[in-house]
Amino acid sequence: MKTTRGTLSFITLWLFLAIPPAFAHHSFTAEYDSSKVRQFVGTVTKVEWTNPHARFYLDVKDEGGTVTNWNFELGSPLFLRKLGWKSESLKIGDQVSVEGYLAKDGAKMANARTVNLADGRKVFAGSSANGTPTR
Amino acid sequence: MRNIEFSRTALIHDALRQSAALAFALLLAATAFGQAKPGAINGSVSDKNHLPVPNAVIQAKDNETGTVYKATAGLLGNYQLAGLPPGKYEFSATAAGFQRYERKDVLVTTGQTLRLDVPAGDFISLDTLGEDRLTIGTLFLTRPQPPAGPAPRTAEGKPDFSGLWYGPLPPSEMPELQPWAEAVEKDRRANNLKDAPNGRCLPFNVTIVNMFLNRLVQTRDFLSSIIEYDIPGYRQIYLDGREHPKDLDASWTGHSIGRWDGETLVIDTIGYNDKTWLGEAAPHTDKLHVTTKLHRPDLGHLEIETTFDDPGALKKPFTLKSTATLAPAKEEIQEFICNENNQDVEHLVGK
Repeated sequence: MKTTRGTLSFITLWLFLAIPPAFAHHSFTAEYDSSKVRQFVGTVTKVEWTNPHARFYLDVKDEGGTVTNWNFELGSPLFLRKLGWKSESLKIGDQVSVEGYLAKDGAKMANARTVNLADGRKVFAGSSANGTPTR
Repeated sequence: MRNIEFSRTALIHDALRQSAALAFALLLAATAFGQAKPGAINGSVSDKNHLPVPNAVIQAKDNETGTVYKATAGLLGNYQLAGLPPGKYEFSATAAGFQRYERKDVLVTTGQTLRLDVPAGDFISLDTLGEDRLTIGTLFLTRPQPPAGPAPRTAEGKPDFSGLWYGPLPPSEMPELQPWAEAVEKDRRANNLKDAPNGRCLPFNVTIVNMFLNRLVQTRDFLSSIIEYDIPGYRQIYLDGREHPKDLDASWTGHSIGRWDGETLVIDTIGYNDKTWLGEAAPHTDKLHVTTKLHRPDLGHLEIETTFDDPGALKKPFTLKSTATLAPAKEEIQEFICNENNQDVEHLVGK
């Protein structure tokens, strides 16, 4: 029992492992501002299951009714696929809310950290928190 | 009177002498006490979401003596630097994937333990879905245990390194750089690594395997490494006894030849250009010479010892030791065409 608990805590802790800079496609802070987190709600207009980053695009309507298309960055499909995520996990027309960090240069780009469907289910998540991908 | 006066004077002298002696003794004791009772610094390293950052290398450099004290943070991010003589220190913490943390003139007092929690600053991917710390941690953690058994041999009786290998996590230690190289590295860090070759889909590093998935294919005369997540996704090593060409043009991956030293394959690589970055941000020159020693002690493990020697940029040769583990045969190397949709370049502004 003791061993199991020890093993579990070992596992939990080791889940938080950063990718060393030499093995990441680019540095987060060179492109995004970690102090500018924003919540977006919109409709998926395009999904790019591509390298070096998978991307999806959202039409986001502001208070004045103006629609802007935002570009969201995900990890490489290499890593997403290993964790059971699929190119069709997110589809054109899906209503989603996204939390992301804004690009430093003011482009309509953000780095997606959470993606939720309208019914609250998470997309591209659950690989670790819930055990299996939710979609 | 005179006697009395004399006695008084003598008494005062005596008292003064005794006080001085006492003060001196106290001073000695205090000094001795100070020497016997060093101070300490402890704390924990965590990211902006308060999640622990394991394996950070913590360092305190004595301002006066220049002595360096080191510790490595544990799995919870906790660390302790003990046995520090009282004084002021230059404190730093480095962890793969995070910004370097520095504090100057950290005061350590006699017998006291100073608490210094380190907020690990963002650097690389932080929370990007798919490259977040949880994903990378999960990828490493869910790797199956390597199989047991003896190391296979080729038809010629040499150790056979062929197989699909999970690369090891690179250690946090870095080579000692010459002053110019140190200045370049500092500048690159100050710009948040915006000009790293990786961001332009150029080679990530100079080694023959990396921390992700690598497939070694060995024949009598040739060893090839197919690397899943690098550019180009392969390295070539000649085992047929040839020498390095005399008219070698500098290239990203250099020219590699391998010789057998008993059970170990010693791979010699030269002919690099000076464009790849070593480790996180260190520069190197075209004098870079990499020696890679491969040894397969059993079926499931591949020991890799890599020595980087560059008289143009490093103060002295730097050696890293690590072990790759055999991945199940069902694993497949995936395609990584980095330039397929690299939108980042124009947005890598740095600061």
